[in-house]
Amino acid sequence: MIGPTFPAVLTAAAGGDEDAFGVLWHDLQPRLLRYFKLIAPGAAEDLAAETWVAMIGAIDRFQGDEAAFRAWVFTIARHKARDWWRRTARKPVQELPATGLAEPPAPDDPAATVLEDASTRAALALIATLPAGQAEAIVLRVVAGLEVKQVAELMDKRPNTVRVLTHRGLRRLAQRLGADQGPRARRAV
Amino acid sequence: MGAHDTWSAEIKRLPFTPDPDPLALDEDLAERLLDGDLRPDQAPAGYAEVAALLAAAVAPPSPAELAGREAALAELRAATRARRAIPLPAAR
Repeated sequence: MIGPTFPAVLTAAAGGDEDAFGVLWHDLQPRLLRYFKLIAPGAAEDLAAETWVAMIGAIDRFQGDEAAFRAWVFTIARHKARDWWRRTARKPVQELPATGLAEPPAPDDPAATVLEDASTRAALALIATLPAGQAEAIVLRVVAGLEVKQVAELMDKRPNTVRVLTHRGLRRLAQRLGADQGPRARRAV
Repeated sequence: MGAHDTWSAEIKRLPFTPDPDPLALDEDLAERLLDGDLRPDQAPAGYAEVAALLAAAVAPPSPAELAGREAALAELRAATRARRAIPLPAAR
């Protein structure tokens, strides 16, 4: 989250201020990529770029606070993903192949960053094994940082349905992680 | 009535208590997990790994995730130029 400076950052970015735009980029681009890696694997970078183009084209007309801005950005993102699904006729959420999760890091990455990146990829890969609605609801809540009401509007569902989806998804993740930990962890449960 | 019968009758009178759900998840716990308000060491049994997993999903961005900014900036410059080129409506 950008926080209290968000209104000034947004106004400046809409006016073409590149430093302010950089603040938006730093906050939103990783979230967009992680969302797209879940719902449109293989097209994350392209779809994120398309989302930014659409956002930049209308940013001067946006009115609202940071939460509303984030919801607006992810609404654009979901539309881009839906167009991509139509184009490719692929399933919206696919299990990411384990081999696809360990792309070689850039050579100048510090080791800690590499480990962190791998851990983020592994986390998203596990979330991606959930049923599509559960996975998307969890990523929109956690990664995009949206509230239940915003996720419900975005996914065209009722807030209670979103709560049920996230609830079931969390339980299923706990079951899978517990199973992965083996008998010792299961005893602890 | 023997001792065994007495014991059986006592057992039957005990309230039925099913095993507690080891992965019970109430709304408050779910919200705290989703909001990132629960560190793995604070999470109840069964959810510490979930808390760690969700924290990893929102870990700070890698340099690779922040690449591509120049292309977006070029788009911003073009959009800003285009907006400034639109003439204001003439005052009457």
